Amino acid sequence: MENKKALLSVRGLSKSFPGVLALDGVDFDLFSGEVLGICGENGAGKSTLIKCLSGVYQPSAGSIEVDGHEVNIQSAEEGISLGISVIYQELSIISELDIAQNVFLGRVPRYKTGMINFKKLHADTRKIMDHIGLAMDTRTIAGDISISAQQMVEIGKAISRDPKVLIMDEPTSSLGHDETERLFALIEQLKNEGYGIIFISHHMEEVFKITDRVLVLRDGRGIETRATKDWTVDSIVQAMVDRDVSNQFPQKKEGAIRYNEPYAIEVTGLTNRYVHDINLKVRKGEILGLAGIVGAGRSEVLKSIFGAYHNNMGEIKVDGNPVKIKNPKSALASGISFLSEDRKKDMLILMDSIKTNYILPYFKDFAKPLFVNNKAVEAATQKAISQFNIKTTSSEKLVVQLSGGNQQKVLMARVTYGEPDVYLLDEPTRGIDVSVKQEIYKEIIKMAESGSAVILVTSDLPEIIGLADRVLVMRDRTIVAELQKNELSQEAVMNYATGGSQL
Amino acid sequence: MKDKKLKLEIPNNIKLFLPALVSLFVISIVTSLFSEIFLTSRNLMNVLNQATTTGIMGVGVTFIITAGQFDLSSASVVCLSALISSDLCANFGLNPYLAILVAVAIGVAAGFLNGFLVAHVGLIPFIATMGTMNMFKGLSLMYSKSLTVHSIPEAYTRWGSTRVFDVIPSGIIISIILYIIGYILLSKTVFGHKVSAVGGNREAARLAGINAKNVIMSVYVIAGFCYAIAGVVLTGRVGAAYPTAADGCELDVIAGIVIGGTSMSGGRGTHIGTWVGILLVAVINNAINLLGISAYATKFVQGIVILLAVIVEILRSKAAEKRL
Repeated sequence: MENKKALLSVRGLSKSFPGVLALDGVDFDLFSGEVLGICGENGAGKSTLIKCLSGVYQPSAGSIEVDGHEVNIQSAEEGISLGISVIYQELSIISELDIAQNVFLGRVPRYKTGMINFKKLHADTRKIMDHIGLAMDTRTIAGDISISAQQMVEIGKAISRDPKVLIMDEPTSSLGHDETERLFALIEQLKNEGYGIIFISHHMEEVFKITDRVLVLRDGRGIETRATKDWTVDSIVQAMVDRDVSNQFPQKKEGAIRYNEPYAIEVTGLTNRYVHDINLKVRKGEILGLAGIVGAGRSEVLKSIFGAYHNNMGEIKVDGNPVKIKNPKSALASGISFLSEDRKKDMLILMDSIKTNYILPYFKDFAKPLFVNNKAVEAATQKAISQFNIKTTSSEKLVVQLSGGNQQKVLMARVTYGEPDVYLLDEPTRGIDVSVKQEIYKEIIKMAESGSAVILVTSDLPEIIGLADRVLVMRDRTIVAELQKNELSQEAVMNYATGGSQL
Repeated sequence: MKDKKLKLEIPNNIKLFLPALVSLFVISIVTSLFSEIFLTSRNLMNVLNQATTTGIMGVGVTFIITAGQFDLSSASVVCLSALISSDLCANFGLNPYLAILVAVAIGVAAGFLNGFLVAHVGLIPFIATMGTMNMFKGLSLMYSKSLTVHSIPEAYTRWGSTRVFDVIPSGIIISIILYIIGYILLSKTVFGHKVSAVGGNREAARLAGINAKNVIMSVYVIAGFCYAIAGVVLTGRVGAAYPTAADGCELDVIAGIVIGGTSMSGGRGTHIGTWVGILLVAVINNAINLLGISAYATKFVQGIVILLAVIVEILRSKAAEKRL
């Protein structure tokens, strides 16, 4: 491949944000007719790299060459016109429009009068869909088709812009096994047609199956690019984390799990719109991991226990006593606290102070009897700020001004307020950097050691294996397997999560 | 993220209405330089008195906007409650005090209806209150057949017409009392914090154990109460109730609130800001009169002030987000 000219050539690409160097001198080439895998932990710089390539961000330093010409991509439109199309993890399908309108969104063919030329729109879309193998009527409303079909539409949309480079960010994260196979067949086909494809995935088996070369990113730097056959799972993971994987997680004290006391929480037959027949028991001092692919219903289990949905069936016991959880308020009163995976949407009032965000559920505790005692709030907040090492100049600072890691610490402080019996933690380390992750791991261990039960959801497999005493694997909105500590491995978890037989 | 230097930290809620307060002083000083009448106690009382209707409404609407809600029906509730209650005591011999209670009951019921439509039926506040606004306006017209209610007993009108110590109109006293209560309720109590939380992020508030629906119901009911009081005071000041009373005030109130720094997207509001904002609008109108500028310019200037206030808010929140 050495003598072939690169489609895309990246040299010394860097991107800094205030206080963070997200990308630090990344180099790589992408050739026509190959699939380049990019691996890295959360926060290693994968998303930033994509956004620099697609024109969403402007790099702080370095160069990007397309077909041998240096380019300066100022906007997403410019990236597309240069032949770089991105299929993001979050699909950008507009569910009210039909397939054809989605594919040609913003570029629908028109008559001279300005009226939409529906005939040409559907004919053109048909051509593209035949090319990628989606047989569906192009007049089908996009919201009515499956996620994997929506993803095909997304790919069709990317291809309709006649790109040279296709970037796929975690394309399989919401796909089942068969659907993934179909996607891989399509990637193979596109590759043979001469597209250069960048494939980003957390799933090692997929990376090994579909890529020709793999670039590993760590802390914003390109660590190494090798042909896929020269990598092993271990060597990639090693390059990704640069430390012994087994030692990065703090360990609980021996005997933290209280076997001779009633279960901290027992859930029997929990069923609603989102989850089906969930049964689980967690001991005091135990950390239970909940694994599964995105969309398997893990977050929904936590939210159901927390009373965030209506019409739950099933029983919940806390510390041996049946509790009636109608809403988050009664869950909190029953000693259950919850951290959502989406802290900005579900947890924080961004334009309000650290203080308010910290004590949000507990204003009553600071009221004597009618008025909120500001001094007491301030004192409690200062204590939390020092205990959780929140970096701020004042408790009055708006949380929107904090980094993601510090926002998360404010929330960790909130969920531990009043030492609840049960912690429901959904992706507690999502989108925060490695050093803060360590602090959060320690807090989780501390929660268990103090005699509370922790139910932990995370997509980061090493994390769940490193922290959990026991793991329940979910698929299709229900629990399909239970793995004890000694049975835990990434392969085992993925096997159950994806329906097995994949490895 | 390092602490650079210790700055004088202005509390977050004062930052909100600082621009309006500064403008109020600047405009007052400039006007007083050009008009010797401006600073006379009579003129100042006049300015305040004219602002009492929107002012008292503003106490309630501040709760609504802070909770992330909106209310177009405010002026029509002012009118309806005043019209029916004053008619009952002027023409049907109802005890004036009971009549005032009737006004309050109408205001509270109207607020309850608005709150129910938004919190429980799930309508967008703008649409829900646009509907109820027209309903209430229609009720006023149907009830009055377009006639004005005269000869209202003094025990009813005096709440808007007396001058305490022969100087300060009673409406001003009432509005100041309501502002103090409103301020304490919104800034110092658990309920007030819940209102801000629901306005700032309703889902986060719900997951923090706050009953968002109850909070939303409550702000509309509180506002309905304030509208009724505003109606009684207005009727007293004018000496009559008529079906077009307070027309258009619903937007003037919101204008004052925006100028006072309360965020239209909810979550951050202060009664002091509303008071300053509504006062600023009144002072500008007064200045336009005193300086002999065409009265037709009033609305135009008010429009500019609203836009400036909103631009200041946007610049401020952008600056806040950038300071990472």
